[in-house]
Parts: sequence; structure tokens; C-alpha cells
Amino acid sequence: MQQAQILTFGIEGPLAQRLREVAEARRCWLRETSQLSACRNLLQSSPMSAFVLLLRHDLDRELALLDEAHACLPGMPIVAVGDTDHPVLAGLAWELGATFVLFPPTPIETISDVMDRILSSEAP
Amino acid sequence: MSKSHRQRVVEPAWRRVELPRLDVTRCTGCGWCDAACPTECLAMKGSIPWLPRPLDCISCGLCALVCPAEAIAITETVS
Amino acid sequence: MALVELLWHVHLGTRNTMNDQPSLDSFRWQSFFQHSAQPVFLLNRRRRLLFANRAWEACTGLTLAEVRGRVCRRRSSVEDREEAVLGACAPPADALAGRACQVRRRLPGPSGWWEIQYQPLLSESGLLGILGVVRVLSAPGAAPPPLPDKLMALRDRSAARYRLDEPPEGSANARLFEQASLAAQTHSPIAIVGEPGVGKEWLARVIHGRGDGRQRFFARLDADRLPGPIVGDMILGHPNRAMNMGTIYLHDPAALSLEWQGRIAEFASLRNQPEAPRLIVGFRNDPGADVQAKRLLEDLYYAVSSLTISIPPLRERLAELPYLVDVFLDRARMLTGRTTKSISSEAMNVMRGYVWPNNLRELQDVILDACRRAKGERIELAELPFHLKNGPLPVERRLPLDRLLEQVERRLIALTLKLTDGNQTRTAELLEVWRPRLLRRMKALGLESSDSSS
Repeated sequence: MQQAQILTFGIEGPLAQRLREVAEARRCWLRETSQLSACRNLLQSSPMSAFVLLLRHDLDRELALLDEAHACLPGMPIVAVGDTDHPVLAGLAWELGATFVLFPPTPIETISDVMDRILSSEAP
Repeated sequence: MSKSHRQRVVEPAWRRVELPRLDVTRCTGCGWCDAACPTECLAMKGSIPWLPRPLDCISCGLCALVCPAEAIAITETVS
Repeated sequence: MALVELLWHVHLGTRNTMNDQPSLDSFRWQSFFQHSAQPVFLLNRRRRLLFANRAWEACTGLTLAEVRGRVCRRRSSVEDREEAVLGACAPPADALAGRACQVRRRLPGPSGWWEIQYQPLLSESGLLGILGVVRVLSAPGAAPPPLPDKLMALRDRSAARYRLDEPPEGSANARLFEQASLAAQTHSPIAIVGEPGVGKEWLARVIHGRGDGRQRFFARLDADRLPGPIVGDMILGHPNRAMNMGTIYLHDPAALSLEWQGRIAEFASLRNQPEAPRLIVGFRNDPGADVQAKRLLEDLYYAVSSLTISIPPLRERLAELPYLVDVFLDRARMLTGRTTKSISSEAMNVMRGYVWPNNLRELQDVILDACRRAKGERIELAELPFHLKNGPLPVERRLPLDRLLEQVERRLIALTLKLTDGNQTRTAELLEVWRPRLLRRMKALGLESSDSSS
């Protein structure tokens, strides 16, 4: 049976903590990965309520993952997170299919509201 | 200890239980499982039940017991 | 040494250096912080600055001697650089309440943006102080490096998916093709109307790809998933210029507050804005009904609907079904790595007879799901979901109350016993019953009783 679950890739620190709090409050699973293969496996095997990925370490692979995820799973909300103010990278993330792009100067607190809305639109 | 230190309620049991499994080729979309669920962890998305609040599932098995199409399975063993 | 004590030593060490008599321990710890490349500062519980390392001084252009003892609090108007820096270091409410947290603050001058991690330090009687560790994010004026060609090539490959090849004359797609071509030649807003999952975003991307703005970026904004200010800022504000946004597809604007709808309506009514992104708005179902129900602002609808494209639902385009099934099988293979290639004619017939309330999105989900379940290289009728097939419903089921309740009770007790390794006292606690009652029920239900009872 499909279950509400949030998948994160490469997310650590305070942002990860926020997502844990959101998942707990919403009573849904949080799957945290930093391995590309584990991430792909999870995306392939069961529907995700949201996919949050960090664009930082290996942009080639991370952006390709974003692109593929949006192409194969078009209904799935995707949040792309960056940690530097890079408008061109942000623009590219939007175009490749991110539902929300969280880059500076947008404060990271915004993610709680966005995740809440994303999860509400699936499970009111 | 300051009052702000968060108290974590430990829930050892229910996080590790088996969640119900659905056979969509049998599910008629009647919604009895949703009606029967005691923790309201289950809901209908169109004609198909799903778990919007899987952490609330206590694996009681009522959804499987009431399903007229026997489309829900839940095993006895605890993972 | 506990962190609290070490930091007191740092504080004392700072004072002692003034007397040229540093204790050995504090001198070592102070130099530890001084060697950190990251700016670090320490506040007492009254937000007064006790210590800041050399990296902090270099970053702020201030010396510790100048600002030691000053209060770090947010100010609504900032007179000088010193106040701006102290304001930027001000701990948020969470930190003052004893919770670790993180904020981003903008600084004037070369430092740009700071990301500050606050770690409160607690003693037995409450908050002792707060440690701030700074990560410098960017320096304004330094343009971010352009993206490498490889990444822009990824973008081109992705954009290539959204093509509308010239369809056969008279097909349902022919009209869409004409309208999309026309729309691509203008810069004015467009409305796309269609049921959920019918392909509004896809068409918006096709239009973007055929238009002059295709070298700039495309963004989809879901009004029900994003807060109003984020949507508003993307459409009306500066970020879209910085990102070089060519087209914005706004989905379901009725989910925005009427205030934001009004502002977007105003923006959409203005002409001659070549720098601004072109707006395409997707409406679910009947926008007229939404206007009547006062969910959708009439002004917004009229501002964007001079050119309206309606996409028919899947059930009115069944001739395309085989082609769409192939496309979705392809995607399912790409995602799952399975080799499902085709679908049986029986299954295809059933799919032709289904209403598809969620159109292409639903078709894709059904194909992906069936692909995962398929035993062979072909999707058979038995592998399709029941509700597509309109098959015979199962006979009415009886629900003997006592038996059901007993089965649930047995299961819950058995589960809890397993999870507590047979500890009956703990089991009774978790199930919130008296232990004697638990034992009685275990006996009545024929559950094994363990001897463990601690």
C-alpha cells in the first residue's frame, strides 16, 4: 500500500532536522540517503510524497537525477536545495522540474511551510 | 536542565511493525478499510486506499480483516 | 573538560591576556579558536559579546577590543557598520530559549551573506551563553561562475522532450499544434484549461520551447504547493531577472490568496515588458465556476485568457492511447530497469473503456505500477488495477463483531509481547491495561504466557 514518505538526498544539518520535524508532525516516513544508488533504488521502488535533494557536491549527477526524477515521476514534488546564491544554477533547477528551489537568500525556514503544503495537497 | 530540553516520547513498538500491503488488482475501492482503521492512518485516494500517516499504523490488521475483496494482507511476524 | 567550563576558561583567558598572565589551559584553547578559519563568536546570556576570533575580525573589519561587551540585538534601522555587524550576530529567540538553530543574515560590504549556527550553552540554572559559528556564503559583486557546458547540455537534452511534431491533419493534436505555434510567437500571457493530469505543463513547456524565450529558463509554480509570497516574488520580483527566467507556468492560481491574484493580474495586464518572464496560467476544470465561487479573481482570469488553449481529456483522445502507452512503458523501463515491452490487447481494450479522471498522469501511474507487477514482458489484464476493469464486485461480507474484535485483540497482544520480548509488565504498560487483565485475556485467547514478568 502506498505510504506517505519523504526522500532526501545529501541533506544534513539544520535542514535535515527541520525535515525530521515535519515528517514526525505529519506522521510520515523520512528516508535519508547520501548514496546515489540507494536514492535511485528508493525512487524506483515506491512512490514518494516529496524528494528533497542538495545541489552541491557533484552537480552533474545531482542535476541529472533531478531531471530523470521529474521526467519519470512527473507528479512527484521535488525540492532542490543549494547553499550559495547562484541564480543560474537555481534557474536550471527550476527548469529541470523542481517544485521549489531553495537557494540563498531565501531562508531555510521556508522549507517547513512548503513541505507542509506539499504534504497537505496529497493528504489533506 | 532548562525547560526547553525537548522530551522525546519513546515509541518502541509501532515503528517496527509490518504495514498493510495492497493488491490493487483485487481492490474494489469500497473504502471499508478506511472506515475500519482505528488510528485513522489510512485514507482513500480516489478508488485506492493509501497510508498518509504510516507512523500511526499500529498493525492491528483490522483493514485486512474487513476487506471484502481480500485485497489487503498483513503478516503476523514483526520485522 | 565540559564545554561550559572550557568556554569560561576562554573568557577568563581573554581577561588574563590583558594582564599578560594567561593560564596555560586557557591560552591553548583560545589559540584553538584563533586558528579556526571560520569566524566564531561567544555571547553571554544577555547577548553581550564576550569573545570573537581573528577570522571574525577579518570578516567584519572590526576588532574584538572595539565591540567586546556590546549587546548583539536586531535593530530596525542601522546607523553604522558596527551596529550592522552586531545586529547580524544577534541570537534568534530559539537560541535564547536554549535550542540550537541556524539563521542567514545579510551583511553590508564584502561579506555578503552569513549562515550562523547558534549553539546555546546551558548550566544547571539555565542559559549560560551562546556560541556562534559563521559560514560565509557569498560576496555580493562576485558573480557566480557560469555553469559548465555539460550542464547546459543536460538542459538542452531535457528541453528536447517537449516537442510537438506536426501531427496528421484533422487529429485532435492538430488544433493544439496550431494554437501552440501561434502562442509561441507572442509574448502575451496565455491560459491553458484542462482536467487534472491532462498535460497543461507539458504544453506550456512546448510553447516555451518554440518561442523566443527558449534560451532563458522555464519554471513551473504550483500555487497550492508554494506560499503566496514565494509565487509572487518569482513572478513580480527580482529573482526572475537574476535567474534569467523566460517563462513562468503558474498552475491553479485559484489556490493563491485573492490579494496575490490581484497583484499578478496587474502584472499580467501590463504590456511592453520584454525583460519580464512570459506568463502561462493553467486552470483546472472550469475557471468560470471558480470565478462564480469567488475562488478565482475575475481580473486575473481576463488578464491572461485572451489566448486560451483547451486540452481535451484523455477519454476524448483514445486514438492516441497506444502511442501514450508506449511512451509511458519507455519511461517505466528507464526508471525500473524492467523489460516490460508491451501490453495485451485485452488490457488495452479495458483501458479504452475507462474514464481516466486523472488523464495522462493516471495512465502513467497505472503503467508504471503494472510494469513493476508484470511477470513477463507484457502487461496482462490481470495485472491492471481492479477499478479499471469494472469487474464483478465480491459478495457482501459479514463482519461478526465479536470475532473481529477478538482477532484484533489477539494480534495486538501478540505483537506487543514480541516487541517487549515477552515482558508482560511492559506489555501491560504499553497496552494501558492492568497486568491481571492482560494475563486473563492471554489465557482466554490462547496466547503463550511467558514466565518473564519483570
